[in-house]
Amino acid sequence: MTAKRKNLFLLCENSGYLLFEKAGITPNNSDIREIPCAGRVEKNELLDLLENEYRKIIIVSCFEGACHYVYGNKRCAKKIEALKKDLTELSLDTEIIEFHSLSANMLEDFREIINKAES
Amino acid sequence: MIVVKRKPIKEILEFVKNSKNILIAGCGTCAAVCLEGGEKEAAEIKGLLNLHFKNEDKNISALCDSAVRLCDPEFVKDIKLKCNVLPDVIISLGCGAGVQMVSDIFESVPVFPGINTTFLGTNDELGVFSEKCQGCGECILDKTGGICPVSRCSKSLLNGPCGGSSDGKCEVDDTIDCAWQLIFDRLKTMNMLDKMQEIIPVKDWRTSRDGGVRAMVKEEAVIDKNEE
Ligand code: SF4
Ligand code: SF4
Repeated sequence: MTAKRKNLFLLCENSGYLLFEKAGITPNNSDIREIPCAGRVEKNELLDLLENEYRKIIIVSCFEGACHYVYGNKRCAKKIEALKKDLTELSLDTEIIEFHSLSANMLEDFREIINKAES
Repeated sequence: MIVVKRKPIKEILEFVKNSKNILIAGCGTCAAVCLEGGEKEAAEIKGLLNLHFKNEDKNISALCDSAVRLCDPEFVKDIKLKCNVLPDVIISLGCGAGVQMVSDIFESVPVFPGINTTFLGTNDELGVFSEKCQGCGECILDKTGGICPVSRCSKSLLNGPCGGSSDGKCEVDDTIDCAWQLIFDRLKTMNMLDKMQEIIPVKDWRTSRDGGVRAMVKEEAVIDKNEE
């Protein structure tokens, strides 16, 4: 029997990852990866991870207007939107990718996201 | 550069749905700069198709590869050499010329276009392109302040403007700058307004798309291998 696939969290080092450290949660069903900026995330890399390793990818970027690289979170949001459009066209589940913009003080929102993924 | 746009993913799926061994071929030059058909986009299409096949419980897998240019035989031959088995179908992400070169090299394999070839243009900013040339075969930019009336005037007028230019915009669509206003402004900036008085003679369109298929040979680069 193949093991149930995990979720992957891609957490921006300036927001999502700080929240993860504060939350004090040890996930069982999710892997955590710290990334320099959500803008760096590429659609082909996400698809490769979904094809071969993970059941769902959750990206947490900086809050709107607060990206340390100015437009990284906006760029990422637009790429995810385009990707979801393609997934819809192929009748695939668009929930396999989640994108959130959070500031480093939105701990409760982050807890909710990670608890939902873990449940 | 040649500006291209990826076809809807559903259309690409239609091309490959009856195949088992699919190759997505990306082009590392114009199509990559357009963010539509380069290495990343080839991997993206591969990923989308494979997720779809998996979801349908089909034992089909797409692979991807890319070349510096798909319009050059030596690079396409490299892709072919790397194939352990020939694919059943290829989606080429190069412009129309690239699709045809891939067809020539892969001979028996059906090759379908994964992108639409749109125009010759410039990359004005990331993701923004505009048409600048129609490859007319006899460039007249020296006469028009470096702005092309063939591609940028909606009526391709060589001695414009027409009577419809208004506030610098074209009468065909007021989101388009009137090419002849641009030509006037540019000539004025360069202190060459007298050029506006010169009549550009009737153009010989045989060098354009009216004289059948075009070819170009740069003699000094061609070696006759049969010659002693
Ligand atoms: S005049 Fe002809 S070759 Fe020159 S830019 Fe215009 S279409 Fe292209
Ligand atoms: S308004 Fe200007 S660009 Fe438009 S058709 Fe007339 S001359 Fe050409």
